[in-house]
Amino acid sequence: MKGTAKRFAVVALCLLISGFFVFGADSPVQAKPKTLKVGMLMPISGPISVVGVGLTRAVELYFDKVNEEGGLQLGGDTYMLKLLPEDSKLDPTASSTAAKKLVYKDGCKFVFGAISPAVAAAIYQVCAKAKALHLITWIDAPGLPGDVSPKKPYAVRLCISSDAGWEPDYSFLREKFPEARKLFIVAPNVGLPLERARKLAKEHGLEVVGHEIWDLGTQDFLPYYTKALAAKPDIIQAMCSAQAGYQLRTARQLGYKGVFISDAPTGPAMILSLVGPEGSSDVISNGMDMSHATPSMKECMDRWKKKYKEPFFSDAIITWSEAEVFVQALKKANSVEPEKVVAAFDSMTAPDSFQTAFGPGHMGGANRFGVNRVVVRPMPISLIMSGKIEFEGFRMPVVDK
Amino acid sequence: MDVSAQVIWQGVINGLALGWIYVLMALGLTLIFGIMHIMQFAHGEIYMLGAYVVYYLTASFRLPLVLAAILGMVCMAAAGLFLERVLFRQLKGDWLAAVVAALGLTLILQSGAVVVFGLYERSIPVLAQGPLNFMGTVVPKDRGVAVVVAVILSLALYVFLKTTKYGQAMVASAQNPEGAILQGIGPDKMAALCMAIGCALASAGGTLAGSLFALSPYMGLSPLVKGCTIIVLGGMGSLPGALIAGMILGLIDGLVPILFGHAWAAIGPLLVVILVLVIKPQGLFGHE
Repeated sequence: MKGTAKRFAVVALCLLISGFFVFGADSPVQAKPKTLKVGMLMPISGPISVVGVGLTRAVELYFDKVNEEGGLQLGGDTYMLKLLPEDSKLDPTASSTAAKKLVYKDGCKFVFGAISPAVAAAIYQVCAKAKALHLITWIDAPGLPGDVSPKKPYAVRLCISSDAGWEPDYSFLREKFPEARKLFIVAPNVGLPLERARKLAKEHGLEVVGHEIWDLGTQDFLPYYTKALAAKPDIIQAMCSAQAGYQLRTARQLGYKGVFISDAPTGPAMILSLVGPEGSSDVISNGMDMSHATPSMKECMDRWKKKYKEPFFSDAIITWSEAEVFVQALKKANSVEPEKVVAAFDSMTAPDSFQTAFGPGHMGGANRFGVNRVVVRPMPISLIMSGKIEFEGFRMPVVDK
Repeated sequence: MDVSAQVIWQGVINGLALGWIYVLMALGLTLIFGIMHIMQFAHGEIYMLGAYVVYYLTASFRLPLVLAAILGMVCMAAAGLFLERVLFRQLKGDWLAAVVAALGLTLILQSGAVVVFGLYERSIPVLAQGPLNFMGTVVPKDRGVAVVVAVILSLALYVFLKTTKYGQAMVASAQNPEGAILQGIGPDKMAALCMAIGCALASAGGTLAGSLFALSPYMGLSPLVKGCTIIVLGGMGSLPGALIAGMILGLIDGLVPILFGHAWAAIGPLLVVILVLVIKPQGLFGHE
């Protein structure tokens, strides 16, 4: 009898403890965190998937960081961020279908993307109808249908276009190479405003002696550089190209000894490794010298190394920084409603309104695009001289001119 | 911008250099077509795999480029022997099945390359640094080296086919398969040999291209299209035809962008193929 009572007491105690865990977990004091689904459209298959995969991973890494820190406290709720990546296939039709899946089926109110202007335009059409915010991730040429405009209330550009760097690049060029005057431009066929480049070059005492336009997918730059060198330039500007290293190599192989500007985010280390120290001199690069990475960039690199076996893709810091800005806008809005987040972006126009991986930034673009919905953040400048990278620091791009 | 005679001459030299790289690809394709009567659509992937093998041998094992390139050719020759034995020999006589198998192999090898090698662009070390002054014009030294290598390999193939017992047996097998069998030449042995040689040449082409441009799992498509265009233009199964057609395509790629713009360079080869096929449907050196 005594034994039975003891057994009964043990079972009752177990039931009591179980009940505490089972019912305690659902108590109103410990509210379950909500999930904020964020879509992302990038070319994660096909020839430039290396870029798409790298840029997507960086946003995922930033969201991991936010979630590890306990998520976001917005409007009295805790939100954990979840990225839903989809393949844009660099195709507007495929991107439109994928964007519809993200906003209608998955319920995303925010969609990052994309690389091509046509794809960005397709994503916006879907987002606008669903009243979801399109966070423009990457843009080569400003002002195209994929870009921000007063007619697009659900679009914010988190990146600077390469043309915003031309003015600081030309100033830097004049400081470092005052004798160089004749500029030749080699640009991809993506609608870059070359007239703007001519105007800015002229303002800086440079003469544009010609330009060549190459189609996306080009591998052999020899015909372009054969024609470029016939104009006998002092400076060649490879605009907006992840293949700047190959272009410089081609130019050097043809005997070109002048200044070379790469205004793309391709890192100077990448250029140096492709061209070798023999050909890497008098090179200006807007890519980040990762040996001078900011603490935020270092965190991105560390997280990448822990999570992925592939080597770090240096362009990833761009979308890492974009995710950082997006999270700050969410916090400022204190809401997950796209309209309130847009209003938060609109309000961050004062200098140093937010932090980016590159340094303090703000929203701009009203003078040129009619709305202050372009992130303006510092851009790096490096010089490669005699096979050595010299990091020259950060300069603010000129977005509103 | 005016195009000077100097620039045109440079375009000719560059075009001929490109032509020789295309020829390496086309010689293998045309050899395989001539003897096995199949269009080896996975030849572009052999070209890509050969380039990756050389990349890893130079980058991971620090082998000199020449040794790595030779080992790459040996590896791809072995891969060619394997493919002939386990795949194409089973489909002998059924050209449609062979085409489907080759296309399937293309997808498998390409997807496999994405998984194994990843999507990061890599580059084989440059063949030579700096410019080369050649006949009054400047050409990249690495292209000059690529031409020399391609010419040596093409000549070696020519000498092999013309002077050796096995080479003569291959020619006989291509020209008259039944007659060759009556002379005791085994068609399977010839098929294996031509696959090995074709794949080794593709590997050499991939190595040269991988040094001039970038490596990627998708790099085989463009040379395959060029190779197919060359063998149609030159005449199916004709080695001299492949050589001449390769030079024509190279010149189009080298000169047309300079003279008429890049859009014309893309459609130029197709226009030439259509023109030649209208005038001579069997190709430049093809037989009825």
